[in-house]
Amino acid sequence: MLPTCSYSVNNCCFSEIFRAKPCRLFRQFSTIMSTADWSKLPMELVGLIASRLHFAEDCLRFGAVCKSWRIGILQNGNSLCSFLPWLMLPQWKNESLRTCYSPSNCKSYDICLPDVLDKRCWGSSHGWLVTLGANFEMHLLNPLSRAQISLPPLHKCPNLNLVCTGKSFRDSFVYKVILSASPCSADCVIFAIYSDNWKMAFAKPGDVSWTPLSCIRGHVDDAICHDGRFYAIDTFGEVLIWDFSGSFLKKIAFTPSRDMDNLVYVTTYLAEIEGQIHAIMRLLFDTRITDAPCLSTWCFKIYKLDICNEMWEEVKSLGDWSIFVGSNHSFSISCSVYPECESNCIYFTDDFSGAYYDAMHGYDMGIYNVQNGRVKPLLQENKSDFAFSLPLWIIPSLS
Amino acid sequence: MSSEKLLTLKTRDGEEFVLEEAMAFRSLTIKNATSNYTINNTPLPINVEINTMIKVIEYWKKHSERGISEDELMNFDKKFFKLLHNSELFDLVVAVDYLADKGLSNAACEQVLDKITGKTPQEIRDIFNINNDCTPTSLGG
Repeated sequence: MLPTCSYSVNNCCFSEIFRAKPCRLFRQFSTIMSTADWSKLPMELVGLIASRLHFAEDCLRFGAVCKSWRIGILQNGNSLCSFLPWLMLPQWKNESLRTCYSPSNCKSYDICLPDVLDKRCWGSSHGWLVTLGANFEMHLLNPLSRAQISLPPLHKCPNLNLVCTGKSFRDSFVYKVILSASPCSADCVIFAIYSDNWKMAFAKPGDVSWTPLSCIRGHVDDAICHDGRFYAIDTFGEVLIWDFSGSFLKKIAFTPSRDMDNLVYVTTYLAEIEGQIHAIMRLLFDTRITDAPCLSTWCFKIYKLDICNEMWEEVKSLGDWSIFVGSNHSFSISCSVYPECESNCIYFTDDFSGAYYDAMHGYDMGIYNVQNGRVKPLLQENKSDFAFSLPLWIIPSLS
Repeated sequence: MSSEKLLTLKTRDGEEFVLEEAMAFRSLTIKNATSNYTINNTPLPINVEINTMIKVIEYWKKHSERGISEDELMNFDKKFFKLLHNSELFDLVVAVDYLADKGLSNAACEQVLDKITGKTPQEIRDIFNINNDCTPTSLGG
């Protein structure tokens, strides 16, 4: 007699329509041997599961479980979305272990990164760092996958008559190097500000040399790449625009910076929010008690550019967005897409300590609330002994 | 008995069973196989074992029920996956990927995700009984 069963299809009991061999429907589940080998999960499934991990740290841990999962996650890197920004803390002594702090969930993660030892780094929102060693060598590096791409020698750029050591080139000659997109995309351009911030040049992955940009009048505070164009802002209160082939397009006056009080230090960042260029002025006070300057951020002022009319409008609220500035290509995050990130804030790190870094005061970094003007401090840990190593923002990604 | 078209399937471990075609076609793999298949009562072979197929059919049946509410489905799914051992979950994940049923595939992957999220690599290895064959490169915090 066939056993009665609880599985029925289309209101007919299995046994009624079951015409073939008698089936062993009842299994004693407790006697099933565990033969499943999760490390042998098919690659597409590993990729499918990995693509739905929300936090980059879960991605990192996933890849650390076993070799095949790591391969699966790296192979499916292109389908992985970006995650929330990490603050990569500076180098501690001679350790190749770098701490990354996620302000959205207040957790720290250690990554083993021997490739950035003794190198100056700049962050981006595309998952890649730009690194510069004491031997003039410049690379793009993805800290999650540890893929590296070498860049042409900036010290051999046509507009430089360089006489300085590799160390001072790394420590102070180069101010910032940013990238416009992941090197895996066709729009990737790398952009450098150097020589006391008076010179700029750009290169694409695979180029043998850098192309200098002309028409720079003065000290450049910041630059970004957006929609096929370079935008740079200088201390004379001008925004200069070039296209990606290096042709100068136009300059737009940035009047707000000309009205600033002389007691205040000002530096201006550029960032793109929803396709519109914004200028973010950072006002600092020198709170020194010794001979060395000690700059401390007081507040920020934000202006949106109406590029057609060449006018600036002050912005009192970033709404759903937040901005990340400091040792990186300034970027914005939509907090409606990433609710773990606090909205209407400016997350900033220290761009000035460098040679003046004083372990007593720590880094000038924090989270500035645009609405009430208050600054929430960011994690200060393992204050670096190295002037070239500053905290930076990076959105980790496996692309 | 309904007058709906029925399909005979044969599992990898030799078990044959019958299923209403409409339900079997939740699997794209089965659907595509039958379109090139002349019906002459030869069972369609599928690369899934009977134990796993029973679970799949149980899921399909519940999700085909007329008039069932979202809440009831959610409760069913919760109970359904809770009762699975990790080895059964593994077989299900692999089988459903082969059968190409997006809905069940997503649900099964979510289950694996739930077990992974927030865990250290060693904890994940302990849950899934995986050997650590990684050389120490990046750490997972």
